[in-house]
Amino acid sequence: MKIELTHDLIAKKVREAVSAQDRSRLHAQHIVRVRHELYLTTPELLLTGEELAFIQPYKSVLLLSDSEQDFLQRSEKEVAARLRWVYLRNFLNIAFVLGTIFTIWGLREYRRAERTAYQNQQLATDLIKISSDIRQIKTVKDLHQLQDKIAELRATKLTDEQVTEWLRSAESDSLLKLLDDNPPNSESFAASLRPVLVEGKIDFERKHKSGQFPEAEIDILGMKALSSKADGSFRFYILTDPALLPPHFNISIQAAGYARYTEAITPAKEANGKIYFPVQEIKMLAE
Amino acid sequence: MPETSNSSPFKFLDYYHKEDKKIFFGRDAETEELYHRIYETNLILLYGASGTGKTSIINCGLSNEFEASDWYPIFVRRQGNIIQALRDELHKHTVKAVPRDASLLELVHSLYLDYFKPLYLIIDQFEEIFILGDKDEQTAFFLQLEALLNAPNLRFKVILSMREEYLAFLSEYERYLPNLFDNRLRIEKMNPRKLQEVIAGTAEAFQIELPSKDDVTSLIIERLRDKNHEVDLANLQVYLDRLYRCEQTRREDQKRKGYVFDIELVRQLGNFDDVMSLFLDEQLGVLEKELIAQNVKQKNVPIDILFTMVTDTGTKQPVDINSIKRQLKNTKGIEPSIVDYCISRFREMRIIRDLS
Repeated sequence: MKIELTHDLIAKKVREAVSAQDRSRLHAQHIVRVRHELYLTTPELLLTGEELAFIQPYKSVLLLSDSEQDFLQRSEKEVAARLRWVYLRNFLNIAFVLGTIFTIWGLREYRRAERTAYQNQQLATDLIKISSDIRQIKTVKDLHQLQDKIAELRATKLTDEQVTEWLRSAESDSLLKLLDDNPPNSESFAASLRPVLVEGKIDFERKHKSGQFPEAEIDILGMKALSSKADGSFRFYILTDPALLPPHFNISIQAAGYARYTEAITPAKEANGKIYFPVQEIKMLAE
Repeated sequence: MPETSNSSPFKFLDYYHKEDKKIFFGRDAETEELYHRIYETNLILLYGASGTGKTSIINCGLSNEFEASDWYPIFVRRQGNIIQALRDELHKHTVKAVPRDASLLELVHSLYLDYFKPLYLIIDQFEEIFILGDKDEQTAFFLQLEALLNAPNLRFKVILSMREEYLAFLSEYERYLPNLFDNRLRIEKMNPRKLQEVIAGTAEAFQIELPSKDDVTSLIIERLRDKNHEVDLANLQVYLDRLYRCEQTRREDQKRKGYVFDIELVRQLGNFDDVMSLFLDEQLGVLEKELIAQNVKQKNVPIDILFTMVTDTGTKQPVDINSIKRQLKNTKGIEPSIVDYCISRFREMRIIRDLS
């Protein structure tokens, strides 16, 4: 037997009186019913993802015919398949973007590697040249020129480890053998040696936590010296033949936490004939 | 005895029927117009807002215009499917047995020969075909209607009665019935003069005295005006019923006979923003108390039951009782016996009606 409310006004009031959840459940039922009717005439018109999301909380309590159940299930499968395709498409898009980024990065790395290879080749050429020079050392001047060249390499192209490694191989392979085979004339060599002063002051950008300047390593003519810890000043002598000194030397200074500093300096001569390297105040910039 | 609202003589929310002629007021002009129109054509479209009394105009007004020999009315509601409902209803009226698989045209033809009177097919609440039906059902109906209306040698007329907000849905079917909109009649809400006529006429019919008739009726109308300054007939009926019950109490207190609707009574009843909501709340409250007395633990059972008879758009819809029981057991865990009890009480409260 069928019954109905006696008036639409009552229907309106009842609808106002029930909970929002009940109204939504009724709306979910309505959506399924209306869209199912459309589906019967146009089978490709299934429920959308949004409609399914709205229906989902009430799915278990909706009273659906077998045909409506089938319609709901087919819609869910279709939306799930569409979602999988969307995920796949998104994945492919992300993969494409990442692929593009990696390709660009790879190309840049390749170019950098090419550049490094070229520089290494240049370095190898330089080292071969130095190795050749080592074999031709006859005088202290030759030695100084070689030391200067090594200092330059150290300052610009090589790490200390690379230089040490190379020198070790060079020493073992050729230099020591060369010196053994052709010892310099010690008497004349010693007579020509003079102390040459190297002094200067490093102005560090910041002090350590201890309040002191950091220790700096100073390279000059292939030799190393340490700066004073107290105020950044350094002062030391090089024993060499002043007549053989070249017009310009590279001085290279490095300290932990600071950029390497390299500068060409010119030896000066005091009034009394003493030669020294007047290194001006050096500003070390923190890394 | 549970409290109900059926102790007054007012129609309340029920339709007026043919036998209610003496208490049916305010729709003479519309009834007359409908009666003349139906002579001019074989298809009438009767439309208007909800609560304007379309069904009562047909059931009571028009029915009483015809002599019994002039018409044979067949009232149809959609139920589950309009075609099936139509077939079932026609079969109920046949004298000479017609095979169940006979076409609608054969059925109507046989029926016409059975009675040899003009057949008037009156489809009430026709909007249900758009609210609850699907395209296939709608198309099938209009195709059948076209065949019936164009059948030769058949005195067959159709009145489609529907709410005006669904009128636009018909335009799609003009291709089957090009004259669908040619003969349409709009039932408008009653103006104050007509409303006064209804109140005064009904009061007189029920022997209710109305001292200062104009003042009392005007005050009642004033009490019931909505924001559009209109009065819904259903609200008027609920209000008059309430007034009647209030007067019942008053006359018992005053130990007098007869019923009087006077200014004092109307003022005593107060002003209602929404008389229908008040009525519904009261009835639901009564039923809730009864359920508690029966140890029913669930709350809001009555409103849940009523809600199964409401469409998503907030209109009433016919529902099978078994379907209600299934639905509420499924969604709310309400036992079918409780549903049966509430439905029976809703009938007494005149909140629901049987359709069959």
